[in-house]
Amino acid sequence: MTTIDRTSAQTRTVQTRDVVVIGGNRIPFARAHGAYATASNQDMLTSGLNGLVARFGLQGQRIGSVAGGAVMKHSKNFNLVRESVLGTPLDPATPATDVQMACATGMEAIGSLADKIRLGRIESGIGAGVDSISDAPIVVTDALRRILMEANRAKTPGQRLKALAKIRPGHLAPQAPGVNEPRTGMSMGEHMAVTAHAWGIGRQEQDELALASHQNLAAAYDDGFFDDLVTPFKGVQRDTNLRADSTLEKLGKLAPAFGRDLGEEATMTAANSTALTDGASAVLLGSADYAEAHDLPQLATFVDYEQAAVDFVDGAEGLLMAPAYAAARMLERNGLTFEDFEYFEIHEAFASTVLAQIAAWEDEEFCRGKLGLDAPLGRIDRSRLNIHGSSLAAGHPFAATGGRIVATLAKMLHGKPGKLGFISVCAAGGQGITAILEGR
Amino acid sequence: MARDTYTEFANTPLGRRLTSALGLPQPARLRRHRPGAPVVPGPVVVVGTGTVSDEIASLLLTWDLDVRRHVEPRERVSAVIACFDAISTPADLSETALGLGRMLKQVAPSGRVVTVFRSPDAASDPALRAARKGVEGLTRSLAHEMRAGATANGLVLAEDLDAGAPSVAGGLRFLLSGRSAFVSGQFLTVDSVNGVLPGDWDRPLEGQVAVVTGAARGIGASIAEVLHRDGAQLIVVDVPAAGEQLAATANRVSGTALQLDITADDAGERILAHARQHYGRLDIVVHNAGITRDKLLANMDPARWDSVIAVNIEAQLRMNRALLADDLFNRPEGTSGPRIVSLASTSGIAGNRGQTNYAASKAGVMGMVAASSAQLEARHGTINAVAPGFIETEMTAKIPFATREVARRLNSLNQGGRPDDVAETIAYLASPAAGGTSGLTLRVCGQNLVGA
Amino acid sequence: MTDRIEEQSTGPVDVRRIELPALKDIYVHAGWESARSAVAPRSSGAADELPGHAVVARHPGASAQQLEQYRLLFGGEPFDGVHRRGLPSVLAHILAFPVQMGLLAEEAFPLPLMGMVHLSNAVEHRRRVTVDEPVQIKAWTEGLRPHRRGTQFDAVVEVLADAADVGRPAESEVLWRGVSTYLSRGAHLAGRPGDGEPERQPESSEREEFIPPAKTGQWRLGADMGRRYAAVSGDWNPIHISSVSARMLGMPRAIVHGMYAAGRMLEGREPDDAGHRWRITFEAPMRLPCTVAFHAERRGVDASAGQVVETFTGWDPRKGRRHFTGELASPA
Repeated sequence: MTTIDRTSAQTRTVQTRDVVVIGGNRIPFARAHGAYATASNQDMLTSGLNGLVARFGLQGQRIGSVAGGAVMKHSKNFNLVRESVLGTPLDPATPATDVQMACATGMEAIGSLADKIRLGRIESGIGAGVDSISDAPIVVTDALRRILMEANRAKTPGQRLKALAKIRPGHLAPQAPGVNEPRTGMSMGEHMAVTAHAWGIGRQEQDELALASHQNLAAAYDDGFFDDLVTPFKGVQRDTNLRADSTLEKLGKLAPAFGRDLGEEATMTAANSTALTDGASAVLLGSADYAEAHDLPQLATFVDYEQAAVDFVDGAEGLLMAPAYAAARMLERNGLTFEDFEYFEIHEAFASTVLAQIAAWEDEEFCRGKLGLDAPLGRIDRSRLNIHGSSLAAGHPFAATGGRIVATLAKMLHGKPGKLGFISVCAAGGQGITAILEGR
Repeated sequence: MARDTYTEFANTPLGRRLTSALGLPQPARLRRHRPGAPVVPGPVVVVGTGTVSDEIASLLLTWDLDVRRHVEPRERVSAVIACFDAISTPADLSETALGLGRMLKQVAPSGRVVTVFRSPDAASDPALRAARKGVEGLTRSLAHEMRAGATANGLVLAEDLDAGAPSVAGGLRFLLSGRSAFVSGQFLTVDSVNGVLPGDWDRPLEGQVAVVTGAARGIGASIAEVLHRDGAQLIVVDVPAAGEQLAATANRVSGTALQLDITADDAGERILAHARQHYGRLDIVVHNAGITRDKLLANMDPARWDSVIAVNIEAQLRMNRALLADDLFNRPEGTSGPRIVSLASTSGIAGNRGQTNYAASKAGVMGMVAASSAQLEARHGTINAVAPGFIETEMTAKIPFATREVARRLNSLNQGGRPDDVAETIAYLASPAAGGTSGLTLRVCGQNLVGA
Repeated sequence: MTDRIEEQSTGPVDVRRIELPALKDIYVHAGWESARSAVAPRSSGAADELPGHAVVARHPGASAQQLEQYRLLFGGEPFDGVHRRGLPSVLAHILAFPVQMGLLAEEAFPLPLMGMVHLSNAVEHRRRVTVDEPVQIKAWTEGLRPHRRGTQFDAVVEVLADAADVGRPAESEVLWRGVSTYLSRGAHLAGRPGDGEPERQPESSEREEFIPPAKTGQWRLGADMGRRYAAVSGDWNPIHISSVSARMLGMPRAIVHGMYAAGRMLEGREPDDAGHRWRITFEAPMRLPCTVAFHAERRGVDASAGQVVETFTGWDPRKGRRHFTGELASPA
């Protein structure tokens, strides 16, 4: 019989400690049905992890936990991250967890590992994410699936035949995975078009943001900024979505791709919206002790992160506006304002997503009414925003974006002790995550 | 790497008969180093009259070898060490040379002949220098006469060097072992008593940190693997574009990958920073990265010329300056100093049509190595170059078949070398035992007929 | 909401008990009638009287299987007595529909069944109806009146408690009450051929420019949506089934059931405890396959009425034509 020592449980205080971002790795992101058309999620994630292991000499090491996931996942990949870990030189005794929070999967994986490290439950962790549009699961229709399951449950051949006899030709058409919001039937782009329209986000400013993203990313590659953040895969060395030679004029000629029923007022094109992309990323986190003991760099401290969700189903809030709420809570908890930040990394699901969030934070009515603040949350200095490019240029393999952003921002903050970086990632289902990194 | 189907065929019973009957080259399967294997599998005969031969014989005994001063007729011997240290005039060569000659038919496949003599360069007496130069000629010619994968090389000792110097043991062991499988007709010089014998001959680089550039594939990857096998911790470097293969190399050798263009101005500093961060030390730098941009000089464009010079030699010079300016690459309190090994090429020695740029860069490497040894000496270090001949790599696999076949057979071993043959030589030169050898360019070419 | 439903009518005193009709028989018969009347027009072309009686039938209630079928089509939480205990309003309508159709198929009913246009529905879902709960269904017609394109009338249906007095049910025994308004195109009331003041119709608003609201949802309705709803509801009216069967009734393509739109509009928004009212008014038909843009908006809590009101609009995002408007008032 065991007894619980209540006294010690009551007097125990939770010791927390710094969590450091040691570094990251990703494969270049490739436009869907392009360079990685034949690569599976597991192939890409394994490659991304292998690059991380190689960069930091983790071969044979037992990492405390590897957490990650994919948004578009085959049912056979029920243990995607663990299977990928087994394909790397990491100690096979490294446990792995599959995480899923739509486009914020990577951020959630990293954030939850940071919490475990902070609490001393683990010393090291790898947060990872991968997504493939090219290798997306194709499934049978619900009707056929039900018939097959019924046949499977049948106890006699007669019952089985009876079940199978219900199959009709129409049942046999393969089904691509749904990318629409299940509760509204609208694609993310259609949702964003409504939000962008409501916030009056113009075409020109969206195109300018897209152009800046491409130019910034191209410059970062040319400067070698990504030399220790990206490892090529299948011969691809840079994100294939990157168009260094884009111009405002070219972008301005594109026809709207979303919100077309807004007619003249449609602003969202294929260029100021993120293309469907394949790719993988991974970030190595650890306690400062771990990093020191293993002679690993400490780029930045993972200070805090916050999840949020909004009621978007009947249009009470925009689908991708959750980070606006997360930011308010997170800043308040940490006693910070936007002016305290050196860099801002706002995931460019669409150019208008970034602009709508910024507009909301600057909007008195929104900040008072929705965020419960006395005044606008603040302005974001655009010269500090996504300065090495973001998803519009790099692409956005859903679950891999968090890792891309954390590694990029951590590197930017490295050597700038005390300087802060802000992250915002929106996600399907009206969700979002924001995070704070601090340079070391 | 292209398969050498001819060598495979020549090593079948039918192939052996056929190639012999037709007088075709008969490439042998070479004995190569495996950890734990004996230095040589059979008896070693030491011939010669000087004191060096006695010292060598006793050294070999400490390695548990079957050491002989004489050999029975028909008995197979694995190696013959011919010591010419007592000669003073060419007439003195006769006894040892002919004694060696009598034993040659008894040398086993992949056997070794090592001639040991004092450096001719230091001899001012014409007869003495003539005698010593004579050993060189004798050794080179003998290398051509060796059969079945056997080699002949010389170990050249500085004038007053104690034969008990660590690098004499190290060099001798290298030349006898499978590590020197593709080295023949070459001379390994020992200039000083610097160097330290390893505790474990199979792990001579234990605890050391090595950088290998161009390590994503081919010879560079092989160098990383051999250095890792010999106990080193590896930093593998290659251009970002080769990152995927580089990561694979790093993971094979449990090292760290550093994606870096070595022509960057701060390449040396970045390597040092990486070594300082991850290992806190840096012992060995292997400048392997290199490119070819072949064109006849008459048709050469600046891009081809300049890029080859920039990658193959200017980058090395710049990195060496950074390395030698940093205390991390300096272990004076240690027992073994830093090592730099550069990749030269037989093209740099003999020249090659269409490779004026490449040959200029690789001859430049040899010049750099020779001129830098004093700087390295100041920190008890060494700098050497290795000049590979025809090596079976992805690069040479792209040579048209007929040209490749000819190139393969144009050496005394009648075959192309393997990347690990180059790597073994580099690993030796990088080892603590090789501290007495510096400023040298050692060829790993199976005694290529082209060039000297 | 101002609806006829407010009148709390419980229908004619003359209530005739019938067996629960089978919809299939009704459609076969109606198809036959429609073919026959094409040759020899029914005298009802001049009819001006609706039947003066109501019909009532016992219904064993919705089975768990039927509810599951409903859920497979509309999604949402399971009807397992835990997540959802009550029938959705549209499923109550499905239970009642055969009785209503039985009445409309009677000889005494003056208008042709085939080709009738469903204009609107207003429902008061007063109390929760549970799985397998036996009920009585009472149906009658009223309010025959001219329409600019023909004649309209209301079909009223009540779902009554199993023990209710069908003639004068107590208020507490009326679980659900629905009024479906139909238009019989081209039929004119005897004695008032085309004159009179047609009631102001929803169609007239169609002539005003429709400015679509912000989209909050999008429905992609496949060509088989009519068949899928028919499989759940038993309403195999040929106009919904396929383009071939729809063409026989003069429609270029099959149109989706109006009650499918109502079901989709209400899914996830209806209170499980009932006590709510809703209406849907149909405009341009949803021809299959199609994409319907959807707008839902909470109008906020009406404290005085003790209710929360949501409004809905469905429209064709390409042509900008409105398919329907709807409203739901739930207890606050």
